[in-house]
Amino acid sequence: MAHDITSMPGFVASAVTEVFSMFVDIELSDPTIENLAGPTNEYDISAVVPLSGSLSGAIALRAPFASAGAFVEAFAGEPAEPESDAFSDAFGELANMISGSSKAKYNSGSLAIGCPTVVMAPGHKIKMPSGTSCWAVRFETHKGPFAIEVGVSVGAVEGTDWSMVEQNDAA
Amino acid sequence: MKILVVDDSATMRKIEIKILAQLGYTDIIEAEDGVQALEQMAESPGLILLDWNMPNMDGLTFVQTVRSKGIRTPIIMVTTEAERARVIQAIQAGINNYVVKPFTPPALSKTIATTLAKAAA
Repeated sequence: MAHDITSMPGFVASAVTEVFSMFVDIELSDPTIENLAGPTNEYDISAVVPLSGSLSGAIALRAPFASAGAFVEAFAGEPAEPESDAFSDAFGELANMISGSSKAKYNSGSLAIGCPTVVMAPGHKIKMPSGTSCWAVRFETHKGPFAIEVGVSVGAVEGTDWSMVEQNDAA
Repeated sequence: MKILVVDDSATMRKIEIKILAQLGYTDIIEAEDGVQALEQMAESPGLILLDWNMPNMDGLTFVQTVRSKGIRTPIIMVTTEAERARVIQAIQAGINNYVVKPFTPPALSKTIATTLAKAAA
């Protein structure tokens, strides 16, 4: 049976811990979960995975370049330049696994995740679809901070696509 | 034995290939979607590690296609799709085993060994 959407941030936090323990081997702080009133601009790289079906919205893995580089190196086994395909691929796959694991914990057979889209731009914002409830699940590591931003709504919402907003251009 | 690794993530293919190498399997061919995987079937792999969600042709469609041709090559689905209904769907399509991402390397190693042992029996 599917859970209430307010349980999603907790499932995401659990999924991050699971994925990092299996593939990244970088120790995580306990997560902090906060409601998001609007887009944040603390991060340089985002991997956004769209959700559809029983929920609409997106899950975005977000980090500064320094943290993301460390995660990619630990995951892929070798460093990669931020502008390389290898960097985007590895960061996107981490987001994919976190989203897939979150989805499994939410336990709704009709919830589907799409392929990750990776956005790189210093201080960019990710605007979640209108009508979604948004949270940030934040972690600290010795390589730097990162967050998962989650925007979800039950069923379809208007403007179901997430969008990237430039740092000085957000509403 | 030749092993076909199919995943749209190059990083994930690399991780799986590393695990296969640790098991002694170094004759590896790769594909990044179901379409490329169908082309690689000409190489007659003895095992296929297969992602589900991929562009162009997904893993489930690939399984249905090769099984409809009577190809019995063992297939292990390696995917984030963990819901019971999806697992059943894949089994009904003809996969031999199923590993959910994120996985531990020992778990994938064990599943590969088990699948090959059953196929050889």
